[in-house]
Amino acid sequence: MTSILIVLVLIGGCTHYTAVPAQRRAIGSLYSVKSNVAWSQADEGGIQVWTIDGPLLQALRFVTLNDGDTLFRSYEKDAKLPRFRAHMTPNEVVEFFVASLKSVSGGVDTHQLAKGMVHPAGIRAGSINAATIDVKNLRPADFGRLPGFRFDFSFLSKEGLERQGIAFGSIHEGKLLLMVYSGTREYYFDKHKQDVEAIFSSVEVMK
Amino acid sequence: MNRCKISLFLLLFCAVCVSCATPRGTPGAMDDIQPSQRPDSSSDEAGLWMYMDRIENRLKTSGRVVSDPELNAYVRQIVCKLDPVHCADIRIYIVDTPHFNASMAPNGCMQVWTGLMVRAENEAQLAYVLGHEMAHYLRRHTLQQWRTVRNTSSALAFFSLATAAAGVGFVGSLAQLAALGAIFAYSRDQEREADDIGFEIMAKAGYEPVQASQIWGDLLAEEEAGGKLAKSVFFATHPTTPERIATLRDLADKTAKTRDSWTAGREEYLHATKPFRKEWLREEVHKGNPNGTLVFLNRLLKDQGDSAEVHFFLGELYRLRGEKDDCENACSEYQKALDLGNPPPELYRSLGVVCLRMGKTREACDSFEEYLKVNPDASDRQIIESYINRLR
Repeated sequence: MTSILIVLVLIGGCTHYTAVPAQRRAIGSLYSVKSNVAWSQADEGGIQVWTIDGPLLQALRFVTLNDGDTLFRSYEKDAKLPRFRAHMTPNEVVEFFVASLKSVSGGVDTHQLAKGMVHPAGIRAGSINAATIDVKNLRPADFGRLPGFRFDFSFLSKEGLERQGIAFGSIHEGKLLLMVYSGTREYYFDKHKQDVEAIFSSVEVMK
Repeated sequence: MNRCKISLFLLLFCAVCVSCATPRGTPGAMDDIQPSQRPDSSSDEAGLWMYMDRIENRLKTSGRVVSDPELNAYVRQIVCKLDPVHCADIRIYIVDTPHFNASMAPNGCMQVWTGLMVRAENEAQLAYVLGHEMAHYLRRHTLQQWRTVRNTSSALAFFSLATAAAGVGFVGSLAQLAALGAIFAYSRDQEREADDIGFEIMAKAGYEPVQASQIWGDLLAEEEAGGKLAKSVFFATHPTTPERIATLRDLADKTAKTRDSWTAGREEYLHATKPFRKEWLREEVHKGNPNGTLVFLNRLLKDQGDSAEVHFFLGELYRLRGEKDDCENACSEYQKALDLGNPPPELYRSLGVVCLRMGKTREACDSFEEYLKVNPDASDRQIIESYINRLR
């Protein structure tokens, strides 16, 4: 009985990863990207997460949102999370991104929150220090053949660890297509930044 | 016989002392906490303190504490004015979060949230809330509550709620907090007692008595406008009723005559909080309770007169809410801010975004150009230029 429980606990605590070979790969039905290096992929609530050294060190997330979707999901019916709107300008997408992070980083003790949240933006919900979120250099960038945008961001984790990120996206057919790469400022963000830049440049919009 | 008389005298003397120490009896009432007092290490109270000490340590490093020395010194001097005797035992943490709350842990860790500070109209209002919280501390209400629930299935919930109420839980879980709040909520008797003591010490310090009922009433109005989602963290653990507000108003009427002059400390308060207000208002409009925030911002306009900054944030609120007619409402508020002069520079960018949404491309272009003119070093210059190029 005890061993069954241990196995169940282990299964529950593990995320299942599969290999992503260095080749072109579809992200949903709207676009594809090509990677020059192999990654490991996991599924976080329907979000593709790619990592090489582990998601806490560096991760690239592929987020697709429809009008009215939230960046984070809550099992709490009444949770007041910001919603993406299809009419948003890139400035408003950044505002939505920051507000979403702030809305799930309310405090030090995140136990309750972590249980109820899926966290597609590369950050464990509640693990960041909201006051330190900083976004810079919002600028235009072609997302394949679509007009797009990108921006840089940084924040401290609640333990004081510096994290850095870049996001690259576009709004197409009313959907927000966003790739978010983040990692520790010390070593791991830079380690695969060029690989991520190559992925950003490889976008091909399928329809 | 003499020994018997002496014993009787001592017994009576002791009884008088106890009744002095517990002037206001609530069920389960205990002695007031004394200056520098720490609980006996083998007591349940020590266990409660130890738990709160751990929470306090995490709060210190959370990064949410406003460290500005002047603002901290300002709030501390209010606390010391209210209770010079216990002042040294109290550690104050100003916590950067847009929700209205203040709390006092049994170990002397006091939290004042910026959502309260931005709402208080003057020093007297803040002093009343701080006095109310200090009353819970002085009367050891948390310990009383703990002893009430520790033998029930609610004991675990008590700790999780104590954590949340101490401000270290996730403030987004308001619905959960509100639902479970009844367990941790101080009893009505304790709330009345805290009202009485809070009122008494603020009046003794010379603060205008009417401000006590005023801040409760304003918060209640905001909460009613915001509906279920606007349930404040504070009211979840401090159920406030119209009856208690009326009682405070009656008390103010009676007390007002006992002194020639009172102070609201309005100028001092606005001066001390001025450097932070813009950022606090920005957090407020992003809080996700537009109807409650609308009531608050309109009250601010009424209280402080026309202000370009407040009109700008009203515009931001409408822009973010995005309901029917909100584009027009936002434009109207931005225009009022412009008419008053010296608006926040980012107004032009927001106005451009709203105009774009309304299909007014020429006006949008003009606003974006104005934004770059007043913000030559804007970090988002390139994207704004791309809007202009696309629209022209």
